Amino acid sequence: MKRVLRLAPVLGLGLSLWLQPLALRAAVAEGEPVAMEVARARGGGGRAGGRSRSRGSGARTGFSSFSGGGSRRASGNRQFSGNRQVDRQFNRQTGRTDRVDVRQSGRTTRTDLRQTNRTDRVSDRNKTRRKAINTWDRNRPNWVNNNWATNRPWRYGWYGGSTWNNWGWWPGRAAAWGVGTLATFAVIDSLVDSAVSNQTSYIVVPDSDYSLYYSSVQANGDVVSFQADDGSSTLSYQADCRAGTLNGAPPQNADEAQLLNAACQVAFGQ
Amino acid sequence: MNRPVLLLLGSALGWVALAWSPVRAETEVIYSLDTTCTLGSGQPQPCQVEAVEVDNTTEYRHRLGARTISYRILDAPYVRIEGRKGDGDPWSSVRNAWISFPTNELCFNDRAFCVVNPTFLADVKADARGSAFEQRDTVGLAFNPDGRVDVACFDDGCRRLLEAIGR
Repeated sequence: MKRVLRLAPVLGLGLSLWLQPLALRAAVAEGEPVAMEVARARGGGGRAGGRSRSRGSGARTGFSSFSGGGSRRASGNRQFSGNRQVDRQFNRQTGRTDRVDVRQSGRTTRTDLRQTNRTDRVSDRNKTRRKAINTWDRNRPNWVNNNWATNRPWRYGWYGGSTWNNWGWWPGRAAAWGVGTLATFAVIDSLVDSAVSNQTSYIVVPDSDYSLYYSSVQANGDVVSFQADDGSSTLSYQADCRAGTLNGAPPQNADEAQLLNAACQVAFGQ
Repeated sequence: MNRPVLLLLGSALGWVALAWSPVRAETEVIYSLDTTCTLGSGQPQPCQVEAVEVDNTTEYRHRLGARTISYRILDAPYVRIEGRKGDGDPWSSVRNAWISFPTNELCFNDRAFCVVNPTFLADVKADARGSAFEQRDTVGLAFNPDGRVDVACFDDGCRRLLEAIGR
């Protein structure tokens, strides 16, 4: 009998340990009302994983790590081990920064020197940049000779600011290039008139490095083909004035945009 | 029989009982919820959600009739979400996960499975640092085949992302 009495508390401990999880499962399996969704079981004792407690239910969501500053749980373990470590890190970092500054300073000086030399050479090249070749005496279509704007042998008059403002690439790229507007028909008209009276076959496209051989302009529908000089050679281009493309693609820089516009003004502007 | 032997026997009996118990020591139910789940384009149907801590992951078990569809969240060494269609099936990484705060919905794999789980969404906000989730309607995560997050998107960013990939 004494032995049984001694054994009873021990057996009781084992039995209670066995019964506790069963009771927990039963509570869950019966399904609590929605309002009681957070399990009571969390009230006592720590978590199996030993995780720190958050403000929510404590369940992982995965999403919280993408809230900009990491989840509360993730940052819990990161702490400095002491001031000495911070001091050592600071001293090492300061030494590094000094050395990097010295190296960077030397580099900057060398880069400046190289850049100065380059700029000088580019300036020299620009002074010797060739001009477009005047081909007035060669194949010139009749419409160019007299009152060119009204003698263009194709439908014109539809092209203008409202057209290029509708090009899909215009707002973004124009802003990126710092271009507020393209040359108006009045400007191009004046340049061509002046060139005709001077018997010159090209105009220098405003705000660009290109010269446009306006007499080479030929329209077909909304597409215009023409020749232009880019400062080193004469090239043939095709521009779709409705779509705003030069050789099939949107202009890659402000110079190309000005050339595209000038050719379209010559062909379709009014 | 002397006292130390008796104590030893008793504690051994206790441990054996614990090992045989239906809930293993490393799992813990965090919460359970009666709600609705949606499979694909079907109608919402009643389902029971059980959020369970299993080792160092949180498992969300969704019981729809006789079927249990589970997802588990792992946060080390990096955030992963894996799912399985049945209890015996292997776990595999989800392609994407979306939450919609206005509808309290959590969806996986292009809405192949959705569950209304307000507790999950409350946890997302409670665990967040900063205000990235404040005033948000949608948050999405897209995973690469290895299960690592490639893209996290918010609101209009998710719409633009879906447009960009042609969905």
